[in-house]
Amino acid sequence: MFKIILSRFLQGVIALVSVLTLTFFLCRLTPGNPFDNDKQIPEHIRAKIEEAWGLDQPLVVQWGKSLLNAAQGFPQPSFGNSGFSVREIIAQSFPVSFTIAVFGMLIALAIGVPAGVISASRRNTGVDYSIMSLALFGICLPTFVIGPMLAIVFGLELGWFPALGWGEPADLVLPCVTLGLFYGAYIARLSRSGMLDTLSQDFIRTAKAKGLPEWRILIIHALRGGLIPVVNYLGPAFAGLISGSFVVETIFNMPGLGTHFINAAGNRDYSLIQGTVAVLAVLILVANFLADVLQILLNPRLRGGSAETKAAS
Amino acid sequence: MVEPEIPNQDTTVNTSGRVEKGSSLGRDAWYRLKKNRVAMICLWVFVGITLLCYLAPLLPFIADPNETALDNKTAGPSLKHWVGTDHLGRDVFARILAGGRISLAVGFLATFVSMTIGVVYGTVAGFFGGRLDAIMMRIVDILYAMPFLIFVILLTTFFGNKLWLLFVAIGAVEWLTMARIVRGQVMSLTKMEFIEAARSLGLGNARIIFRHLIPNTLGPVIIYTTLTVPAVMRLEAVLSFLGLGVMPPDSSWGTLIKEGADRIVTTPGLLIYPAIIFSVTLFSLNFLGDGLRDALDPKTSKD
Amino acid sequence: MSHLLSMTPFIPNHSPCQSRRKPSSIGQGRLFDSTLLGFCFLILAPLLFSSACRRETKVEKANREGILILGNGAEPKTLDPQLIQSVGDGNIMRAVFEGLVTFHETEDSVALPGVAERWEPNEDFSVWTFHFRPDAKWSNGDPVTANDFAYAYQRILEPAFASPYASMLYFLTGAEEFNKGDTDGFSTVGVKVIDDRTLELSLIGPIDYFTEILKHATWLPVHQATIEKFGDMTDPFTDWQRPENHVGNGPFQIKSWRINHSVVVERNPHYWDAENVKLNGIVFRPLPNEYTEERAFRDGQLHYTYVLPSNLVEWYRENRPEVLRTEPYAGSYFYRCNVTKPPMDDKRVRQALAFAIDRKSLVENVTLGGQSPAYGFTPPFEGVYDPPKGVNFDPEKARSLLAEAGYPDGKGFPGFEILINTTEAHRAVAEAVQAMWKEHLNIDNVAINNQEWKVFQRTLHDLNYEVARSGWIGDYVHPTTFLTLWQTDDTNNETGWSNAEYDRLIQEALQAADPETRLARLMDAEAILLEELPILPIYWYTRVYLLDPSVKNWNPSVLDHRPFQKVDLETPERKE
Repeated sequence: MFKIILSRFLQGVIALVSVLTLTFFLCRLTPGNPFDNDKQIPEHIRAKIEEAWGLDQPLVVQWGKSLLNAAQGFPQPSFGNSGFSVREIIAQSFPVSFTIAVFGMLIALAIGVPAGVISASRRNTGVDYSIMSLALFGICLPTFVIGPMLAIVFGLELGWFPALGWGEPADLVLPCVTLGLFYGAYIARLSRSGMLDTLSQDFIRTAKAKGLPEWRILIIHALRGGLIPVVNYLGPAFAGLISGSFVVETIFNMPGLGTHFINAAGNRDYSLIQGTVAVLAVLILVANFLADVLQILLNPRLRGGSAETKAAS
Repeated sequence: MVEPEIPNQDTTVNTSGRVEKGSSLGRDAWYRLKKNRVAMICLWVFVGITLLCYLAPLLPFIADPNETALDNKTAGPSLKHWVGTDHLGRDVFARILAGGRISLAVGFLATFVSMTIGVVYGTVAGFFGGRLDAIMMRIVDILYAMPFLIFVILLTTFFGNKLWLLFVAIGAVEWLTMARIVRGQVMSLTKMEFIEAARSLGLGNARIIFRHLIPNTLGPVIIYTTLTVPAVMRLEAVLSFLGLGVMPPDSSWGTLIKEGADRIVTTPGLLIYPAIIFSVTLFSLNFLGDGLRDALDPKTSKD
Repeated sequence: MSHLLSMTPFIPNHSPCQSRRKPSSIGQGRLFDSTLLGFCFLILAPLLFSSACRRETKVEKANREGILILGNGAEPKTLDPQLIQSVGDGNIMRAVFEGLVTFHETEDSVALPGVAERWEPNEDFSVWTFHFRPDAKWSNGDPVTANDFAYAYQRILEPAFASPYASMLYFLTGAEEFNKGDTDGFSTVGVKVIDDRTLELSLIGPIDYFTEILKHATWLPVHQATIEKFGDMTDPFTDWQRPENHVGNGPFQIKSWRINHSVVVERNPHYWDAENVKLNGIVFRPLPNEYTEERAFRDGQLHYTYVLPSNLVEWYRENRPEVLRTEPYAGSYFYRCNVTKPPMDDKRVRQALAFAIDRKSLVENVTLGGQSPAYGFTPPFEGVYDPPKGVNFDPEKARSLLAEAGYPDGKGFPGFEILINTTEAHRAVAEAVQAMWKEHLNIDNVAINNQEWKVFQRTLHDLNYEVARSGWIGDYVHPTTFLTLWQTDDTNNETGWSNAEYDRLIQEALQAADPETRLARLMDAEAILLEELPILPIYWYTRVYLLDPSVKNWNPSVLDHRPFQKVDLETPERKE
C-alpha cells in the first residue's frame, strides 16, 4: 500500500512540474501582459515596471524562478491584486470554494444517486421518464440561468435566503443548490446508466432468481457496480467544482477561487495563474487518485488484479 | 447534419463479430430501436428541428436574423415576428434557427471528436494498465489542470477565428472525462470471464479492444456523449466571448441563452424561447440516447 | 491477471435466500418515500429558520449604524495612492486620504480647502503656494506637513518606483525629465518645501485650472515614516498598505480588506474636521457583474450601485424612479480609426462613416442610459467648454462623401472589421452601428470581431485593427485631459494619426497665459480633429446607477467624485 502511494506521489510531482512548466510558457506566448490597460502606460514607465517584476530577465531564468516560487508555496505577490501574495489569495479563497463544492456535491449526490437508481429500477416507465425529464431540465438550464432564477425567486421575491453575498450560513443555500441541481442532473443520468449495466449482469439475475427483495438487490448488490461511472465522473467534477465555479461565484458574489482562476487569466496575472493552476493540479491528482481507490473498493474484482495494475491505477 | 446514431454506429461497425452472435449488432440495434416508441418520437423531433434550422435560409417566411429595426425592439409575438423581437428589433425566431445551425454543428462535431479520442484513449489505458496506464492518466491529469482560457486565447491569436479551431479547443477539454469513464469501465471489463476467454483463444489486442471491450463500454459512453452535447454548446457560448466561434451579429443557442439570461426580468421571451428549443433538442437527444443504449447493449443481445 | 479467476467472482451471492416478493414491493416504495422526504427536508429545513420573521436588510442595519455600503466595480488593485489606476480605487483613496484641495459638494469646478487652508498662484498661474492648516493630522496622530506631500510627489516620480500614473505629475517643472531618468535628484523638480506648513509648486506653464488637477488621486500624500517602516521609498506593494499598517489623513481610515469581498473604512478620529463627518464607516464592495450588483441592491445589501445594466433602466424609470439616478459623466465613447490602413486612411471614408451613424437613435434605443449623442470628442463642461459641432447624422452627406472617396452607393467598398472587446454593451452598439452603415451607406461587408480584453489592448497598441471601440474618461474637469490624447507621440493616441497643426495648437493652449486664449486654441484643435476624424464620436457618457433614498447629500458629479465626509444617512419612517 505504502509503495503504491509513494509511486503515485512521485507521478504527481512530475505531473505538477509539467503543468507549471507548460502553463508558464503558454502564458508568456499569450499576447498582452499584466500591465496592458485601456489607459496605456508610457513606454519608459512600462520598462521600469517590467524590470521591477523581473519580466526583463531571460525566459529561462523567469521559468526557474517561477518553479522556485511554487516550491516555496507562492510567496510572490499577485500581479493583478498586488496587495496580496498568491499564497494569501489562495488561502483566503480556497475555503470558500471548498465549502460550496462540498455542500454542492452532497446535494448533487443526494438528488442524483437516488434519482438514477429509481429510474433504472423503473426503466422506461412513467417514473423513469419523469425523473429523467427533471434531470434533463437541470442539464439544459446552465448555472447562469438557474442561479439568477433561484436568486430572484428565493432571494428577492420570497425573501427566504440572501440573494447573494458571503458571510453567514444562509448565504450558502442558493449557490450550493444551484451547483447541486446542475451536477445532480449529471449524476442522475450517469448512475441510471451504470445501474442498468449492472442490473443486466449475471450475478443480479442470480440474486433475482434467489428471490432477494428488490431494494436489497439495488442497494447492496447493484449500486456498487452501478456507481463506477459516477465515481469516475466525480473526481474531475469535484476539482472542477472548486476551481470552476466562476459563474456561481459571480452570480452570488462570493470570494472564491473560481473567480481568481478566470480573472488571473484575464489579467495575465502570471504569478496567480501559476498558483491557481497548481491548486487545481493537486486537486485533480488527489481526486483522481481517490476515484481510482474508490473504484477498486466498489469493484471487488479489481482488488484481485496483479500488483502492477494496482500500482499503476 | 449527421443523424445522431451515426457516431455510435461507427464503433459498432467493428462489432459485426461472429464471436457471440451471427447477426450484426448494428442491424439488431436498429430493429430494437424501432420498437422503442419514445426513442423513435425523439428521433423524428430531433430530425425535424435539425431540418428546420438548416432549411431556414431557404424558407421565405423566415426573416433575416441580422436585420435590425430599432423602432421595433423587444416587441412581443406577432404575425410577422412569431416569438417577438430582441433588443435591436431582430426577429428572435430567425435568430434561434440561425443559432441552431452553429450550435448543432458544434454540438455534434465537437462531441464526436471528443468522444472518439476519449474512447480510444480510455480503452487503451484501461486495457494495457501498468506503466502505460499511469503515464496516460497523468497526461490526462495534466491537461485537466491547464488554464483553458489562456489556451484558447493563444489558439485564436495564432490561428485567428476559425471554425475548426472551435472543434479543437472544445475537443481538447471534453475528451478528458470521457477517457476516465471509459478507462474505469474497461478496467472492470478486462477482469471479466469473456475477455479472459477471448485472450485464451489467442485473439489479438486490437481485436479484443475493438470487438469486445468498446462495445461493452457503449452504455456509459452514449450517456456521457449525450451529456457532452449540451456542455459543448454552452462552452461554445463562452468561447465566442473570448473571440472564438460565432461573431456578432450572428448567434448561437449558447449566446442567445446567455444574452437572454441577463434580460430575464425585462424581456423573459429572449431567454424562454431559445431555452425551449434548446431543451426540446436535448430532451429528444437524451431519450434517443437512452433508446440507443438499450438497443446497443450487447448483454441484451444474449437474451 | 493470473489471479483473476481464483478470486471470489461475485461477492453479493452469499446473501441468504428470502421469500419472493413482487418487484413493486414496499422496499421500493420506501426508498422512494425516504428520498422524497429527505429532499423536502433539505429544502424546507433552512426555511423554518429563516422565514420566521422578515429579515432586517443589510441596508437597514447599516442605516442604524451609520455605515454606507457602496458597490465599487472591480476589486481594488492596491490601497497605495501612488500606484492606483482605476476609478474605483480612486474612490477608496478619496475616503482615506485628503489632498491639498478637496471637492465641493455640488460644484465640480470648485476646489475647497483640504489640507491647505488657503493657496495663491502667482500672476500667470505658474507657481502656486499652499498654506497648510495647523490641525491636519494623519490617522496615527502625526501632523500632516508639506514634507509629506513633497515625499509623495518624489515617490510617484522616482523612476525605480515605476508608478503607472506618474505622468499626471508632469505638470510640475522637471517632473517628466526626472521620471524618465534624464535628471538626477528630485531637487530639479518644481516642488519646494518652504516650511512645515508651506509648499510651493512650480508648473511647466500657466495653468489656471491647477486645483482641478490637484483633485486627482495621484496628488494625495503618504506618511513617510509608515512607508519606510515597511521598505524603501521606491519599493512598490510593501506591507504598509495592509489594513493594520495603513496610515491616511482622510475622513476615514482602512479597517479591513478582504479580496473580492470588501474594503471597509471607519471614521478617522484624527481627521481635522472629524466632528462634521456624518458616517461612521463605508463598505466598498467589488461587484464586477452589473446584474449581480443590481440584485444586491434589490436585496437591500447596497446603498448604491456602481452601474446599472442598460436594459434595466427602463424598468426602474417606470417602477422605481425614486432610486434611479442619471447624471452626466466626463467621458466620451467613440470608435478609433486606424488611419495607417486602407480604407480608413481616406479622410472621406471616415467622414462618411461618421455622418452615417444615427447617434440619437443609438442612445435612445440601444444604450438607453440617457447618454447624449456626441457632436464632438470632448464632452461639454458646463460653463467651461463646449466642443465645436463637428459631426451629426446626415445620411445624404455621408453617401456623397463615400461616393467622392470612390465608392458610390457602397460599390466596391473593401470592407473592414469593427474590433470590440467582449461585453454585451459594446456588442449591441457595434451591431447597431453595423446595421446603420449597411442601411445608409449600403456597405454590407463590415464585420464585427470581438477580442478578449488584453488581446484587444495589444491589437490596438500594435495598430493592427481598422475600427476599434474606445472610451475615454477625463482625469479632471478641463478639455486638456481629452485633447492632449491626439498629439502625435501620446501613448494613448493609438490611431496612427498625426497632425502638426493640431500638435501646435495644443502646445499653444498649454502655454497660453490667459484662459480665454487657451480655450480658443483647444477649440481650434478640436475643430481639426473633427474635420480629420481619426475617431468617430458616438456618445458622451452618463452615470446611471441606483441610490437608496436614505442616502443624503449625494450629488451629481461629472467625475464621479463624492466627498464622502459630507454624505449622510437618514432612516426614513418604515411602516410595519
